[in-house]
Amino acid sequence: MSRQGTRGVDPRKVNGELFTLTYGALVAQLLRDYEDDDEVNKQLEKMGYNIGVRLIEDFLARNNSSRCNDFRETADIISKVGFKMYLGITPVVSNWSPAGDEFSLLIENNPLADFVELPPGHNNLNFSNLLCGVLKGALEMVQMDVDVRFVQDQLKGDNITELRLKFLRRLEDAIPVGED
Amino acid sequence: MAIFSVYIINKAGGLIYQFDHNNTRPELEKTFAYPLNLMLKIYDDKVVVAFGECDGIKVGHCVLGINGITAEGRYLQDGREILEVLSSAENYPINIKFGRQKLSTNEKIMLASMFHSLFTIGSQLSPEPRSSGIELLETDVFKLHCHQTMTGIKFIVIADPRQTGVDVFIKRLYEIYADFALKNPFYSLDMPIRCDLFDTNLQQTIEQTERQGINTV
Amino acid sequence: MASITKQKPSPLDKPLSKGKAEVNIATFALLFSEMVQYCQNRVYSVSELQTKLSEMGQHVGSHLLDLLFVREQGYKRETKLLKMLLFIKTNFWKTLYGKEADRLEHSNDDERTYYIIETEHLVNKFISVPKDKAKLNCAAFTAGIIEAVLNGANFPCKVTAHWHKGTTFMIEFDESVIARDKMVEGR
Repeated sequence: MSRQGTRGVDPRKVNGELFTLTYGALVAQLLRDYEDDDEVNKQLEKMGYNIGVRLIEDFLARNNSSRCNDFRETADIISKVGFKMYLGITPVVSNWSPAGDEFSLLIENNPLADFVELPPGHNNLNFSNLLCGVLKGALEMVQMDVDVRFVQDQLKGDNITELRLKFLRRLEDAIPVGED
Repeated sequence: MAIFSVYIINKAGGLIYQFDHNNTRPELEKTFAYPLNLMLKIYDDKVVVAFGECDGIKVGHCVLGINGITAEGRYLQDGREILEVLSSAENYPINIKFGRQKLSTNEKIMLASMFHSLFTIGSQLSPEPRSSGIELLETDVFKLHCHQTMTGIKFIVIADPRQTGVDVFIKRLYEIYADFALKNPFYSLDMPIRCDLFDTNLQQTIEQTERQGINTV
Repeated sequence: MASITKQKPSPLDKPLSKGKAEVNIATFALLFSEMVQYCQNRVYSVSELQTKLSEMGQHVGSHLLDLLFVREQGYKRETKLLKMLLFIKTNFWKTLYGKEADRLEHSNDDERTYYIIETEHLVNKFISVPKDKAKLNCAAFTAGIIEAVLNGANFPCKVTAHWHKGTTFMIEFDESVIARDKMVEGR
């Protein structure tokens, strides 16, 4: 064996900077292709959705998780298993609504936005809007209709990046047989 | 030990992948002189042996090919009708391939959709609520294992009843689907899977499972 | 007056990360897959698609260059062609892809042309190219990265990705690079 070896290198891990810069290249391309920040946000959410509906299968194939009993459990799994597994961070779950149908994910070091400075004149751009789509797509595939949006963003000068998730309804019709 | 077939069915009951592991249905080839000493008939749009077993060729076997040309129902791939080809002396000596009749793509799609419904019926028959659908179906020749994911996809594996490690195999199958179908930009969700890397990885895993199945027995 | 209370932070205020953070291959692969699909929907041919992917790669490469040189070489940039190529094959590749590139070769017929050969390249790990696009190699993205890094380090060149022994990156340098290198070597 050559010295090159793959000692200590996990074949299912990728350099974080390659990922961050690749995402940056995508957003830069979208900003060139669409004039308008809102359009870019929409496109990012759409692409995130497409990722989410696929990522959930990777998640289920590699975790022995069973269906969540309530939204609090879902919140925990998203933060401690989902974010941890796919982005290497564990956002803090907080700001629960009294009804328990709404919470926030507080993100300190958003890997999507490392080395990023918002270009001037793009105050409406939600740089990491992809995340909203990913969460929405993934949860929809396990039959949860959830509204996801950014309420704070460190890139815009906020102290923290905050994603708000609101449970809308269970997608009863889509629940597979034997699961209802 | 053997894994015979793999089926993947999408949420709507549509067959999106099917694979028959080779060697699971023995095929026999033999060269014949004129006149043919077998009686053939058309049954269910296939050419089937009706009379005259020899050299392992049995009644019920159907013609799978002639002189290396694959049969499609009662016709060859080149459009000639099988019985006509076999009736004329100038075509002899002739090589005929026999075997257990294969399911056509349409039949597989139909069976997959029927199983999808049966799975639902299984759940409905349950005296208790929240029963799963059919997870295991057993015959004296094979066991059918079915795993439905939380997202509603069904992975179905038909294997030798003595084959071990099928649960692990199905988990691997799910991973292969998540990797080589879903992470391929040219694959569209819920559509038939036509990805080379998916095929090769699945075959490797099947062979690995079969080898391990032997070791542990 | 939000603009006064909210001072936008600059990435320059933060210490340069050590580059240790990793993400799951699924995260990267699905992002890359979306990018390929996005590009595909906006072009008409395989070569246009490869160009688009290469452009995105160049965006990545130009940002990577500075990070890497600062971290790997202590601010010193390579000036000799072969050393630069070896840097790409070893340190650079290892940082980015967790392993060195499989092979680096010099063309027999053209002194301006070098090849980096990868039997299985990260971005192609899960991609089966459909038959009607058999020539398409999505590692055009990686080719763009290499091109930007070399160009940024003052080795102007064109890099393309091909299906050959796995994936082969063909690096064609400008005449000026070869001439300069001969001078440097000659001294």
